[in-house]
Amino acid sequence: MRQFLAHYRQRIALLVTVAGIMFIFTGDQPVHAAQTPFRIYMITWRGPTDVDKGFQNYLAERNIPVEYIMRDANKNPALLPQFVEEIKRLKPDLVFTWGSPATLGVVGRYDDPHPEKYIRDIPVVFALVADPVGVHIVPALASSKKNVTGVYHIASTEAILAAIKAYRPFTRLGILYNKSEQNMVAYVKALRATADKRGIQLIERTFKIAADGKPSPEGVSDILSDIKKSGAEWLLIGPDSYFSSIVDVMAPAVREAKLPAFAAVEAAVMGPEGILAGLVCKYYSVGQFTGYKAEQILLGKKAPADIPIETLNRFSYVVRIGVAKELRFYPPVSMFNYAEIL
Amino acid sequence: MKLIRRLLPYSQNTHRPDPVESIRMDVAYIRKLNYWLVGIISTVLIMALSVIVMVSLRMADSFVVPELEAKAVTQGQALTTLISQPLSYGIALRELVGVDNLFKDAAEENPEFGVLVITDEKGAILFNFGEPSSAVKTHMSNTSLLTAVAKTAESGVKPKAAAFAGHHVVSLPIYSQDRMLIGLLHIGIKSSFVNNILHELLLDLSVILIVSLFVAYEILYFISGGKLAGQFELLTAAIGAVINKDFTRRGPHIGRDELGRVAALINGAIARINQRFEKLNLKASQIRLTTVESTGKGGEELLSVFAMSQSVRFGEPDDQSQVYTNYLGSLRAPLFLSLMAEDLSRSFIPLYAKQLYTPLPGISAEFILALPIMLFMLLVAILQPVLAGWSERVGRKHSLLIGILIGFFAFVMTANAFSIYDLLVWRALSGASWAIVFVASQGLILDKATPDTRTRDIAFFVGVIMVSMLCGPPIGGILADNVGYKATFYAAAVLSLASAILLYRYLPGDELSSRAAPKKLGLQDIMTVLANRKFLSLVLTAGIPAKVILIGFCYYLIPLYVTHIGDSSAMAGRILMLYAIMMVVGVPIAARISDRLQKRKEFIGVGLLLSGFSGLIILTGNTVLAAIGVVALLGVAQAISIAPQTAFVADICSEDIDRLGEGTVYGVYRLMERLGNTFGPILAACILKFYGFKGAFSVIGLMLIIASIVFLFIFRRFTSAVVKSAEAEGTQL
Repeated sequence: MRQFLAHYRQRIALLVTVAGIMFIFTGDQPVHAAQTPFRIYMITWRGPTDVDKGFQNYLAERNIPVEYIMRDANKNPALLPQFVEEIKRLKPDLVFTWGSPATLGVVGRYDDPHPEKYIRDIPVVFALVADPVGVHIVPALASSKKNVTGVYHIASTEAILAAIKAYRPFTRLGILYNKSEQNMVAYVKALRATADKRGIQLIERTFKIAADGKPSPEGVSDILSDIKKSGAEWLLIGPDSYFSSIVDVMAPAVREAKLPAFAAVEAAVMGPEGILAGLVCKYYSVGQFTGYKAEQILLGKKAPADIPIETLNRFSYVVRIGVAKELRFYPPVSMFNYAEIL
Repeated sequence: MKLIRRLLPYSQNTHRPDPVESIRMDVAYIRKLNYWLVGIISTVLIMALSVIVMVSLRMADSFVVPELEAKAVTQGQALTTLISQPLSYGIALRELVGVDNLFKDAAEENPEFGVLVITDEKGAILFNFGEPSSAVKTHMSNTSLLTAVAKTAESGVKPKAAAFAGHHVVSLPIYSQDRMLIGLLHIGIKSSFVNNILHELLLDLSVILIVSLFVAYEILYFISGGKLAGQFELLTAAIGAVINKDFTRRGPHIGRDELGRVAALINGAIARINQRFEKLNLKASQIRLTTVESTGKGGEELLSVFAMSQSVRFGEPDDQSQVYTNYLGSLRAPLFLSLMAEDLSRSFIPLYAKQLYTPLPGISAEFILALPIMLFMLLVAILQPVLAGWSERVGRKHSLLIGILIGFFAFVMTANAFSIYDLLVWRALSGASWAIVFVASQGLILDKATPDTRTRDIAFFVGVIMVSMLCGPPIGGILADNVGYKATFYAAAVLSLASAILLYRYLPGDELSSRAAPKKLGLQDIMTVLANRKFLSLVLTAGIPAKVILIGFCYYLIPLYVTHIGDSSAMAGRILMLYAIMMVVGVPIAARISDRLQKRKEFIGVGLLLSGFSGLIILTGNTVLAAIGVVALLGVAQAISIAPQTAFVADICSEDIDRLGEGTVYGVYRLMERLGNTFGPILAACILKFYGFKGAFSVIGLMLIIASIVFLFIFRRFTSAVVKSAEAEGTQL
């Protein structure tokens, strides 16, 4: 049956993987027992996730002595300037940031007129930034030209659309997103271009923004049924931190609306609750890969500007068979060859 | 007889009855023996091969079907394993998604699958690819099949196919999540596919049969004709010389066989006679004339020695130079091998180029695939006039060896080509090699031919080229399909090497030709000949178009087209063989008829017209049959026009021939034709790019039809002098 796999590989131009062998890279030999441990200042966005676990475990497995200074932004951007102050004071060896908002809060846009407000001398590695170029963290993936490098985790919109089509062809695609997330605005813009090129009609809806300026789940059922009524055959969930943070509420609501939904990030599909399917990087692997970049900086003494910003070269095609059965919307038989069935 | 007379210069001077006449019988006897041998060997070979063909076909039949069944079972098991996965998650069999695509992919991967069906436990069809016949439907709807299949599956026995008209059906069980038998997967193997395999096999074997016959004949000729008859002729010649009182030369050095011992005896005798005469001569010189005068003695002896040296020619006693040598016989086998080496790749050269092709901005793929052929033809065209003088200077044997070894090198390098660019270099080198071999062999034959034997000797040369054209492409195609292009080029290299060894070993080194060196073809000559409007018209409306369609179709379009419609290089080779057969059979017949009817221009016109129509045959459909039709009609058409065309040159250029000589005029004509050879693939490639295969064949066909009309119009009032075109056949290359 290899030919079917090859066939689909070709068609959707992505590589899917057996869980476990997530990425291939060569690292320097680990250096054992450096005298003083490296100090890493870690900022998470919404509490601990597999990303920071993967990052820490990677360094531990490589026997790199590390002392962590853990901070969590608790989804509140207002805390970030305080962290920046603290970093400037503590002068750690490396800063780790989780997601686009935290990363922007620490390093700023590369073209920000006030670089003094940000960290520009201590190496920063980021993880889980969907589109580092789109949100102006770096000018290009090849090099940040400054003290930043990291790992992004989203398959290209081209690959995502092809992956959805492999499950079931479509012409109208709904997307629901939080417009107060800069990276989502950038993502939807890219998606629009790709959809346009493929002759796919995009039905765009956003979460309501409450009086406090924060998004709210209010009225999502109506929004979802509106998307369904507008003729969307699929709903796409992008690298939306807000959706991921309320996936327990959202996933049942999407099922309720009878919308087959496809995720670009692990959090929307792989937790205890999740939507139908996704083409995702495993968070743990993203963390490991970020750990590898940190190792290159700490032990390899490479400048962050010399380390390209990359993503994993393998993505997982995930299908929640329970959801498929509930929707009576089954994946094609050949998909069982390569998809990870949950 | 003519040959022997040619070999014996003195026999022409003598008024006595030819003393060789009686010995000639021996050679005629060997010739007769040869015909018998060819007949017997052909019969035995045909019978043996027919038996092999029949046995192979029967074996293949009982071998192919189970093999295909086993493959269907393996593929089917892979499919049911995959299908069982969604079932294991509780998805119902009838609710499966994407089965159609799964079937389509499976049928694409396995072209022998004609029908794929999933039936449920009641035998109702849930999914199907291809339309099962009603007999197959009845078979599948039979519920007892379910239990039978289940039983077979449980027992672990390989499932057997049920044979129906049109399909062999293999059925495999599909189990549910809880191991319940819930349906069957049926795979129908097309009977036509099985028949196709057998058909292919039959064709391959027939090709091998035909080629074996020709090769057997070549070998026979080499051994008995070339060697034995040749040695007899040489021996005869040596004895003839002695009878004519010529002791200057020796008989052939043959070896230690029976004939060799006879030759050694004769050579010994000749040597002794020469020795004795030398002694006598010495003695005579001691008897001074003055002594004779003073004593009156010895005058008679001196006179007789003098008289003897006048009527008898003696040589040096230890002179090892032979009498005459049999060049043609020794040339035939190596020439055949070396030409065959090149012809092996005829059926797939553009495909090999395709394999190495990398896109080049601004140049179309079709054009690049035509380049190797074009370059080959171009080198053949431009080198031939240049090489004539060179091969004369270097010696025919030397130049032949150089040419063949260049070919050997080119084949090895072609096999190892890593890109289209270096392939072009190696093909150009092959072209150079072919041109050298052609020029040197032709030169050797013309050097040795007398006016009497010229036509026969050139016909021999043409014959070798035709036989190689007939055998090379189909064998090359079979090789390419079975061992690959690369290995086929290695095979060509081996043939070249064998050819070089045979040549080195058996072809006598040539004495420099006594003939005047052929006049080199100068630009001035070309211009002069082309200034003849009739000549130019013939070249433009007949000579070049005929070659454009021949090379464009046979060397470029057919190999690409046949694989384009999904057939093999072997098929392309067989189709090309058809062309050679048409030529071998058709050319002499057409030449004779056109001579008898004295309708040369009409033959040319009709030939061109039919060539054109051959291209239109492709419009009947994208089938191998259409390709066969194209090549067969093209072969007939070219056979009709080729000899009259050559003769026609003499008709319209009599003044030029008087002034510049036949060689020059024909040289220009051949050069023009060969330029047509180079245009052929390029023109075909350009049309192919824009209009596809049907366009390429039919547009070139239309061009030929137009050319034929223009030709007939231009020459509508022209009447040929009575010249036999059959005789001009000899210069048709």
